[in-house]
Amino acid sequence: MKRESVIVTNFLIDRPKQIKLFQMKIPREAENIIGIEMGLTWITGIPPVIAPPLEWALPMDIKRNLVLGELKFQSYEKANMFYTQELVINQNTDTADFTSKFFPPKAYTHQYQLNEEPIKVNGNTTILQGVYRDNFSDQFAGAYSYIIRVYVWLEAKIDQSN
Amino acid sequence: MTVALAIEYIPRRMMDIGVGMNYYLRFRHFVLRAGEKIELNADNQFFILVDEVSEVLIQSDFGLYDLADPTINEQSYEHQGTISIYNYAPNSTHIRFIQVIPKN
Amino acid sequence: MLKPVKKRFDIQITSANQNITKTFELDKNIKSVKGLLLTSDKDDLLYYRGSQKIEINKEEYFPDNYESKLLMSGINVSPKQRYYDLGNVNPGNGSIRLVFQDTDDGRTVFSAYRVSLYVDCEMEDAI
Repeated sequence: MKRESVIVTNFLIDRPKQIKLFQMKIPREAENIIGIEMGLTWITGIPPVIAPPLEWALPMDIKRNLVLGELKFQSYEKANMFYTQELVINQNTDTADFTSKFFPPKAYTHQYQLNEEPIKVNGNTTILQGVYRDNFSDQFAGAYSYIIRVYVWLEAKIDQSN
Repeated sequence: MTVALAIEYIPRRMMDIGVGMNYYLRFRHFVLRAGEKIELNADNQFFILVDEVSEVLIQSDFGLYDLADPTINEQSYEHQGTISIYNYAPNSTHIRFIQVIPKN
Repeated sequence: MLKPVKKRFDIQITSANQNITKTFELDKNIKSVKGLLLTSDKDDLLYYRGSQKIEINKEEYFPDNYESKLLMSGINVSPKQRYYDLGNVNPGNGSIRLVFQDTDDGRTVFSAYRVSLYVDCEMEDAI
């Protein structure tokens, strides 16, 4: 029988262009790493929001998304660098959505991606090396801070013969 | 411990504890601000201090390292478990380790 | 051949009503966890104020609010009987998670103290 579990790590980004190196310990029972997911909690700083027009009209234009930063993962085994993903705040959740007249979409109401990114990396790696690079200062000049949460999904074989 | 000595030392040490060739190596270079204290979670790993570094206190299950402490009779360059590093210099300090990670 | 081994893991309680979580990892060649014990450098504080959850290999053996006093042994206890007998627990991952809660009790005055978790294990020895 296979058991899926997740391990989490959080860290705070509070300086522009901050680079955070971290190691995640993979539990012994993990046979494979099967997914990576990112979460975000905003702390301070007001991200630039494009003000909606005074008179509502069906939003058809494409707005520039906010790219917060980039996460990369490296396995200590043959897989080496196996994951790169940008952390993006979607500004286009209301594109061509006629209900936005009554219910303006936000990132936390109309999420565009709910599942983890599926991958398959050997769990033998013992440690995962991660690096997160903040790039938000390219788009936003003020001070800001946020917490990144990284979820690593694992798969283990459970011996049921106790 | 110099890097050259560490390179010789690590394979024999890993052979002694039964890990053999099943380990990873990483080079870690920490930069600590004046007065900064960090804690590393290194259960089942080894951090070998490379080069002598002064005005720093390194503590772990394996021992202590602090060149200025007159009460220590032997300094420890190899650390494991919960390792706490405290930079008590008035300036920022660079501390280099070789991290040895036995495979799962 | 299995050898008996005792491991100790420390945490520091630095402020009153603090909740502190720490995960420790046992060596790969530890094959069985037989028992555990809690001690402190200020046992009166641990006795009156402490409670914790203990998980081994993600399985809960002691739930939240399990008082520390129930896992402490006095000097009048025979040394061989001081550890809480868990039988033979398979360490699996080898991870032991301790979630410790310090709570004001009205009688003691808080000062920073150390809590040590001792684990009685069996280790696989090459010889």
